[in-house]
Parts: sequence; C-alpha cells; structure tokens
Amino acid sequence: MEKQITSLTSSRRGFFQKTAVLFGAGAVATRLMGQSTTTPGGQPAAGAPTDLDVLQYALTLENLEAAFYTQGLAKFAAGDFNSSNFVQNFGSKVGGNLYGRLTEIRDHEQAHVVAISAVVKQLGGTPVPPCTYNFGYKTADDFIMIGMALENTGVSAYDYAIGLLTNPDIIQAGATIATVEARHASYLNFLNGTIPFPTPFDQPKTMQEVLAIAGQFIVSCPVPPTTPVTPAANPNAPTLAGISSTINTRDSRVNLDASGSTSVTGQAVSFSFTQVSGGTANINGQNTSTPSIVLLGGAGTYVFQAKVTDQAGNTTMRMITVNYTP
Amino acid sequence: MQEIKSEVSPDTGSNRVYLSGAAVLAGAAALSSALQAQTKPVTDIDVLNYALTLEYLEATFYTQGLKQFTSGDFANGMFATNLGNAQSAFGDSISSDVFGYLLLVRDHEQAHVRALVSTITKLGGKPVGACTYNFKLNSVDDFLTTAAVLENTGVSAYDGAANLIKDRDLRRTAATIATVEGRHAAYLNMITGQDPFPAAFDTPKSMAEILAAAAPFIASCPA
Repeated sequence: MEKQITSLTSSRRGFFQKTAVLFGAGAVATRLMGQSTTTPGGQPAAGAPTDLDVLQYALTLENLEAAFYTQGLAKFAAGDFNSSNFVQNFGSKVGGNLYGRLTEIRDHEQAHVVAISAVVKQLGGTPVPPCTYNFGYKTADDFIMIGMALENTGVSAYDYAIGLLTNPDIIQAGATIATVEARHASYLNFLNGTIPFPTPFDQPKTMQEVLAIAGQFIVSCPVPPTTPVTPAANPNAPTLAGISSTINTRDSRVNLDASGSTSVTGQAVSFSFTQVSGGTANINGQNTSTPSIVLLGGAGTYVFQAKVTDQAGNTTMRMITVNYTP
Repeated sequence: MQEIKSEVSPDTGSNRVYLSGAAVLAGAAALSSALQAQTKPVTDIDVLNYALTLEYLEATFYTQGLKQFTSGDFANGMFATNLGNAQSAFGDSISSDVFGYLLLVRDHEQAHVRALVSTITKLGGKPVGACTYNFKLNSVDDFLTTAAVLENTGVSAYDGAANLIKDRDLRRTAATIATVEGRHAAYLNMITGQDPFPAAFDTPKSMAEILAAAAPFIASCPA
C-alpha cells in the first residue's frame, strides 16, 4: 500500500527537489495527515496520540537523523570538512573540531534510537524500522546545511510532542533529548553563520508539520500502514473557509481569502499563515484573513499552514500545498 | 529571615554544571515553598514560580554583567584569546560576535521573566519577586564561566521540572524555553572551550539540587 504524503521542494540550492512517496510510514503518518483540531486547556481530544504513538513518531525522526549522520560521515572524510566553506570561514580552532563534533552528534542520535526503541518495546510496541532516505547533499557544506535544518526541526518536534505525552518518565526522557537536539541545533546554526538562538521561545511544530518536512527526505518505508485512527473532531473548532489544500499557480503572487471563517459562538476569529517548507516566500498580512503570498524562490512546491483560532483558543489548521509553475 | 538547608547529596557528575556550596538562603520564602513541594503536591504555579526564580537570576546576571563589561573586554579575555582573537586564524568570526550574542541571551532571559510573570498572574498566582544577587564577577572570563554554568543548570532545571507540569500547553511552553536554554548552553560551552553537547541525554535535576546550585549567587530574597 502506498500513500503519497507530499511533494516538497526547495529551490534553495536545489537539493530538496524530489517527490517523497512514503510506502506507509505506519499509523503515525496516516493518523496525522489532514486537518487537525485542538481543544483549549491542553486536554487531549479523544483519539489523540498515545505515548506509544508519540514515541514511534520520535523514533521516525531519530532514525532519519541517525541515518543522515551515519551516511554523511561515511561519505565525507575529516579533510572534506576542513576544505568546506564553513571551516574556511572559521579557521582551525573550530574547523579542527568539526568532524569530531559531528561524530558526537551521530552517536547521540544513535543513542536516541536505541533508547526510544527500548521504551517502545517496554510499552508492547514494535519499533518502527528506518526508512530509505535521500538527503541529496553533494558537498560537506550541503551536509552541514541539511544537518542544521534537521536539528532545528527536531527541536520543534520535541517541543510540541512533550505536550502530548502523559507518562512522567517519558516526558522527562523526552525533555532530556529535546535540549540535546537544541544544543546540536545551536552549534550547527553557528557553523552555518546563523544565530544559534534566534528567538526567546523555540517554535513547536505539530506532528503533521514535522512529518511534512521529514517526508521530503524519505524515499520509502518498510512498515505497511496499520488501521488509521482519525482524531475526533473538536465540535467547537472554528471553520476555516475559503482555503484549499492544493493551489496550482502560474503567478508568483497568491491571494488567499479566509474571511468567511467563523467561530461556533459567532465571536471574532484570528488568523495565522506561516510557511512550512519550500523556497523563499513572503507572506504579507500573515495575521489577517486575506494574506498575500509572494513566491520568491522560483518554480517548485511551497507548503504553508493556515490556522484560525477563536477567542476560547479552539483552532483549526490546514496545510496548503502551492505548486508554482511560472 | 528563614533558613533552608538542602539535603542534596554531593553531585558526582560534571563540575561544569554543578556549583558546590551550602544551600543556605536568607529569606527565600518562594524557594522554601518549592522545596516543601517535594512532600506536598506541586502545582503548576509552583513550578512556574520556580522557573521564574531561575529566570530572574539569569536575567539579572546578564543585565549586570553586560553593564560591567564592554565588548572590548570580551575581545581581550582569556577565552577570546584561546579561541583566537582578531589577530589569529580564528578571526573575528567568533570573538567579535560574543558581546552581541550575549546581549541576545540577556534579552531572551528577560523575555522568559515577562512571560512567566504574565502566565502566573493569568492563572491567579502571585509571581515571586527578584532577589538580590552576588555574582562576584572579577573578569570577563569569570562572567563567561558563570554564564555557562547557569545555562547548563537551567537546562537541567527545565528537564527535571517538565514532568511536574500538568497542563499540556504550559508544559509545551516550558519546553520551548528549555530548548532555548539548551541553545544558550551549547554556545557558552563552545565559547569557554567545552563540549557544546557533552552527552546524548541532558541530566535532569530536582528542584532541591538546582536551588542548592543557585544559592551561592543569592544574597537575599523578598519575603
């Protein structure tokens, strides 16, 4: 059974360009695609992911990260990093450590895989096996740049998932991994010449958002999907009107109109439009009902998230895939 | 005045993270309640006030230190020289950014304080006040060493407190602060010549352990 999850590209250096077809990333992906709703007050809706689901999701990401570093460090020698642009920028004090530091990160990701797999088994689950990946890097610089994207995504994934977990021991273990991913992210941001800690609060991303990002590196996965469980809809969720999940455009400007969105109580709703992946894009009026997106990164697929929130905190989100062929 | 004695056993782990010192705090009423919380159920407001106690300490530390030292002090410090100052191969890439990055860290800690105060108030709690601190910073290298200790301690504090928070949204918000502390810790470890990510799993620490580590910096706290 085959499930087309998404097709994502990034025009940036062109190394994300491919179609990601997942041969069923299992229950996790199936369950989490599509529209999602949450209730205010932080209580899980009926049908919300169990701790086991969340661990399998974390394992999916850790498998990906571990494979990324294991493959990359097998492909590149220390010398390749020494001649990379990043090391040239920083000189020998950092450059001399770089390969060793990346080896440490690889070992950490492998340790996370081992630890999470053990807990999955304790809970009576079968740990999801690694998939086949295509990371698309050609040079050591590419590798470091993708590493940065993966680590920052990992931080956002764990920050969100910690709110889904219920078992105190698993919450604590998740937190001790999250902060290590943040350390990796900080270091890799630094190497890439980006601010190591760009904001006072990291940005949590939903499982759905993270799997959309991870999907672009996944060629196929061995585990067939199990019975999908659809999270129960929140009866108080606001409607998100006028927003399609797929938009094909020849124009670099995409105007959206969600002004017909309503809350159950009839009170005002607020909007948030953010970019999830793809080439460079500007969102003008991202907190209005009528944002205008300007696609600056050229032809390709861009993914955005639309979110409507009512005054009680009920939300409805939808992913918007924009296929731009000028 | 009130005395709190911590019953923490000596830390056997890294002395990078752990600050020794008898945990005798003068008048730390807020901290006292956090410690008593080990036998009483801990409320989310307790945990948020505990986090606020640490964020006040961090915010004050950076606010004071960055007034005391100039960007020139950082460029001439031992760590900058070890990393390679403007004259060496390492170049400006790291040393010249240090002051600016520390200003950003300061801003983050101040933002954490504001967010925690506002959340505690919104939940109907009373935010603890800032204490008076004594950081004993004789040089910019002292400052960086202490900053690294505080950030790594912050990581262990948030990792240890995450599972005490019952509300899922609050726990998620705490996680988004914890990972930022982790980013700060990695950077400061790197600047001070240490491993940015010394272990595959960070070490969670209990409130008692963290308050013992914070105690040497605290002169007095409002009742």
